[in-house]
Parts: sequence; structure tokens; C-alpha cells
Amino acid sequence: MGSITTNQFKQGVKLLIDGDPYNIIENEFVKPGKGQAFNRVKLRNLKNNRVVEKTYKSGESLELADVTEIELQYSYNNGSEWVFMNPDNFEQIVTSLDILGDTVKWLKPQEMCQVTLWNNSPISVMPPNFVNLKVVETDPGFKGDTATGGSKPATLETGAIVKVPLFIEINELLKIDTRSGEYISRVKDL
Amino acid sequence: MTHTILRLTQLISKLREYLLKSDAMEVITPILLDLPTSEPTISNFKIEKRNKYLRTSSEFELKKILIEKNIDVFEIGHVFRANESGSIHLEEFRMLEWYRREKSYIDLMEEISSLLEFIGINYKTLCLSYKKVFEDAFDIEPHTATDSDLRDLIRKNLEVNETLLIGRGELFDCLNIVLMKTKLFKENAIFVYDFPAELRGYSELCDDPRYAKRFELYIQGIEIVNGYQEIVDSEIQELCFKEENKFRKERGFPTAALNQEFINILKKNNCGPYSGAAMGIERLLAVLHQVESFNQLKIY
Repeated sequence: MGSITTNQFKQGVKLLIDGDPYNIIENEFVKPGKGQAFNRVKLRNLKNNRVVEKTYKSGESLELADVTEIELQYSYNNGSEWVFMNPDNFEQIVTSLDILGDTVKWLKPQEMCQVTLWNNSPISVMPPNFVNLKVVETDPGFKGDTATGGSKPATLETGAIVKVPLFIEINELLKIDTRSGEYISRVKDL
Repeated sequence: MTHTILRLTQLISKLREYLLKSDAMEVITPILLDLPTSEPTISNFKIEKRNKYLRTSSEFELKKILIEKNIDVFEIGHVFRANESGSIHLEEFRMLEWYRREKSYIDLMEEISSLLEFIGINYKTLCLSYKKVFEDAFDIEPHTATDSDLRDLIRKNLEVNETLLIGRGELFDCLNIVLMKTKLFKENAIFVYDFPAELRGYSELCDDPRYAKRFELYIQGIEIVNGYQEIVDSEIQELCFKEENKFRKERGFPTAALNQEFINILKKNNCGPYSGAAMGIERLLAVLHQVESFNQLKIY
């Protein structure tokens, strides 16, 4: 993939450190007085999301990580493989539950997702900010008991469980904010 | 004119006013020089067509005038340092640099305190020796710490490839990063004086030769001033230049031609003790405006 030196460091540059891909989130040039210059860098490990701080001597050379961000369409899953497709070339990219984590709750077929690839393999998948999902199970209507605070759990077609208002029925289409996991509104089928 | 350029100009006027009132003569010296700096960690911009270099400071031009004309001098002007770019680094910046005969580095620190007051920076300044600051932070005196001790400290405090650090000076440079981030530095204005001899620059050594008559002023962790009680012996000056070239060679940097003209001026003139200091003006402005980075100032 090639390498860069510290004077090319900036936010967004992807580096390979100890075998893992990292993203530079902060880069500070430090040069005390007439001394040697350093770069103090905050990095996010793209595999485990942890943030670390490292200091590099000015001029030090580092390997670039082959990391790209791409938009892929979610196709389907067979319980062990989750299949995405690149709509530009119809190429299929497969990933698993341990990469997807919580994202699996919001994956609806045909929806576009932001996928981070490292050496052409997915290391993280971001669902769209909002997704419309159907309710497959929930308790029916009002029970006349307002002490519950006006919400009840509902299971959606992906298996995700969200808090919804009491008037929501099975088969209704709901708009969900995937970032907070919250019900936003009902969606009227066109 | 942007608001900040106006403020920068006003600050420069005040600095000039203070220096003129104190009987220092203002001079304007060349920006294009024949020789590059020999300081090992500073790089000049070169004008290839003319084989000249943009100055990294006014140091030797000012020193020549002080020694030959026997006057206190100052200059406020642009200086240029290649590859120094960051939140508080500019490749082109403005510096106030001045030199005074018969004054010690301690005298200069006192002068800077009153200069700060004059321009409206009312921080109470602390005055601490490098030894004290180092010992408080790391539990060991700098002169008793072996290179191995220093490397241990570096490993403990930073995630850095310390095998890349060559020589004791670089180990101290690395630890300075840690010092500047401590609460003591972030919350105060501090004069640090009596640097380890490895970091002497062009300053005279103290009576304790493990330390040198060098000081720096830090305000909120930002280095604002560097000052020396200057070397007056031509042989010692020549030795310093040669050490710097040795340092450059060790790191694969080009060596700089010896500033023989300056060495000769020292040899010819019986120069009495004198001290000098240089101050970064944009950084001073940042402190006055309580910002931590230049892009919050939008100067250029």
C-alpha cells in the first residue's frame, strides 16, 4: 500500500500499526524550542474501535493501510453469511455477525450501507441513519392503563425490539433512527 | 485588513515602543542570507537560483552589530522555518529578537516580565529551574539520570519508538513534550531556567557545568521566548558549530558551512558579557486572545 512520513499526517489518513488498521483522528505537530520535532497522534483502531495516543519522531515513516469506504446494498443472509452487493459492478461482498454486531438489527434488504473495507474485507458496516421496518409482534392497542407511560415494546421484522406508542399495531411500518434505536414515526404505505 | 492583522500590528507597535523606550536600537537586517543555519533541528528555505537562504532568525546579524557597534539592538521581522507547520507553528512567522550588553540571562527574564505587563498580559509568572521542573515531574534529577533512565521515563509516559531517538539531547526533547502537557504548564506562565548542558544552544555554561545559562518562557504550555547568556569565546562558539554539524551528520542531514565571519568577529573583538532573547509574536497574540491554536486567530 505504500508508506508516508509524519509531515504527511492528517485527519483521515489510515495507517497500519502492529498489523491493525488505524484512522488518524487528531494530529498535533510538537516541537519544543530548538529541539527535535514530534507528532502526537490520536488514532482509532478500525477493528476494535479503541482510541490510542502515539508519539512519532518527525520524519518517521509509517505504512499506509489499505482502507476504503464504500456504499454497498444489503442483499440477504443465510444465518451465517450476510451478503452485500456493489450496485456499480454487481460484485458480492460477504461478511459475518462478528463484524456486523448490533448493525444486524437494522439491516433491511435493498438498503444502502456504509462499509469500511480493509484489504478488500469488510471490517465495519454502518446502516443508513433511518430505516423503515415492519412490526411483526406487539401487544394489541390500549389497555386503558396510562401509568405505563404510553409505550410498549414491539418486535420488528429484523428481530430488533423498540419502544413504541401504545397505538402501534402489528404490520405497521415504522421509521426508526438506527443511531439511537428509537421509534420516530409511522410510515404510511404509498 | 482583518481584525486579527490589525491586532497583530498593534501588538508589534507596543513591543517596539517598549524596546525603544529602553534604549535599544531598532535595526532591519537582511532576510536573504549566504549561510544556512547550523542548528540541527531547524531547516532553511533555499532560493536555488541565487544560492541564498531565507533567515530562520536574525541572531548573527544582530550579534555582529552589537559587538562591532557596541549598542543594544532589536529587530522585529519575519523569519522562515521549513517543515514546521501545526496548530502553533507557522513556516513564516514574526519574531522579536533583542540583545543587551552587560546584562545576564536573569536580567533578561526580569525585563520580559515587565514587557508582558506592558502589553497587558497579567499572569503571575513562576520562575523554576529545569532541574526542579524535571524532578517534580519524573522523580529524578536530570543530571543524575542515565540515558537508560531517560529512555525508561519516555517508555513510561509516551507511546513512542524511543529506539529512534539518538543522543541525550533528543531524550530530553522527548520528555519536554510530557512536561509541557502537565497541569503546571497548562495553567501558568513559567520561566524555566538553567537547562541541561546538552540543550545549551549557544549559551554560556553555569558555574555548575552540567547546566547552561538558557531560559524559556512558557505561557499555558506554549513556548513564547527562548533566551541565552551568549557565548563570547570564539573557540567555544566554533566548538558549538562543529558539534551541531556532527549532530546533523549523525542524522543524515546536510551539514552547514561554518559561520567563519562570526567566529572571526568574536576573535577580533573583546566582547563583554551579553544576553539575548527571541519571542514568537503570533504565539504572544494567541495568549493575549486566549486561544490555543493559530487557526482560531485567522491571521494569514
